[in-house]
Amino acid sequence: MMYHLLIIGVGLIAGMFGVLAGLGGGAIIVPCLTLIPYFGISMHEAIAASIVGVLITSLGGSSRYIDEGFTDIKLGMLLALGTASGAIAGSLVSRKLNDSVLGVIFSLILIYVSYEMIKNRQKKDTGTNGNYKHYPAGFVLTGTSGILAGMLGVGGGAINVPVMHLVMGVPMKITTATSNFMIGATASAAVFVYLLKGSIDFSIAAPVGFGVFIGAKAGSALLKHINTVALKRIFTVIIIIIAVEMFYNAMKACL
Amino acid sequence: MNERKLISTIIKIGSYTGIAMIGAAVLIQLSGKVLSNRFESIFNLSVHAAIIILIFTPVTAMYASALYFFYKKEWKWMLVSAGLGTVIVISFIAGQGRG
Repeated sequence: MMYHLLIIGVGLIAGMFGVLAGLGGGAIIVPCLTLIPYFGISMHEAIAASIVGVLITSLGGSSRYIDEGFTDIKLGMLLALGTASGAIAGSLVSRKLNDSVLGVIFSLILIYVSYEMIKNRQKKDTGTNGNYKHYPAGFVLTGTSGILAGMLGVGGGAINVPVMHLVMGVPMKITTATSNFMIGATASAAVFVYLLKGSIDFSIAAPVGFGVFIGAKAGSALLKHINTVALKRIFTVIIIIIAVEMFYNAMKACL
Repeated sequence: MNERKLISTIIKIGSYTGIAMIGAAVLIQLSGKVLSNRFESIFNLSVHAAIIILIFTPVTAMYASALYFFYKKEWKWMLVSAGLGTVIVISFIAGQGRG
């Protein structure tokens, strides 16, 4: 019972901090489950559980954004064609790679995520509603985020958001909401592959998914009462430490 | 009802049903009853069904919006939404392949 309570706790932290720091849960779930020896969970099992958590977080949040009018559904559907296809490819590739290689790729992605958080793109909200540009480039680049999402069990928002905002000129508020909508379609394609391949350990995925959902709800409630700028700084440092630890462990296993 | 309301309603119904089933499964898991064969099958069945519901929530939303765009004669968006639903369904074939 304690084991499963702790897994729920990991999901809860991932969901809560994910909302507060503007991340999907995957960047927290996978390192926590693999780096804490008590859990004894392999990289592949953690990725499969994480992508279920990402699907739940995305579906839980996207209906609210759609109701509030922030999601550009047509743009989201168009780009999700690429991300969902990428996710299928990524989840198939992930099965062929060993834990060490996935660990190295994941740690590099974590470093990129922390770089994006340091840059704090939230401040500049340029872009115009509807008059978006560079659709082909946006399609290809967000498709890459789909591959990584399927391969590593992350949402891919760290790539979708800057691509849509900086390359396509989508306003930031719409970008975040639309990316969340796209992640639902992306994660469902990846989860389908993992489920059919028998990679999802239900005893891990269920508590992770449940914890993420509760955590995301708690995070949304806390959002108005917490200084998110300070939290993001602390969180960035934690992510960098986790990335270095993962990279070191993966390289040690490789050599 | 516009396509926004339609998609949002489908996502709400699907996600809350799936999450409720996962919540029920987690309660069985925490009660320690998973150790008995009967409860283990209920747990597995519940999580399996919940994940399938969660997967098919975006698929249903996409096909429903494709029907909406068909009704509105917006052919381009009808193809995009039906295409996205189909891509997710294609993952079924990818998942069943060898390797």
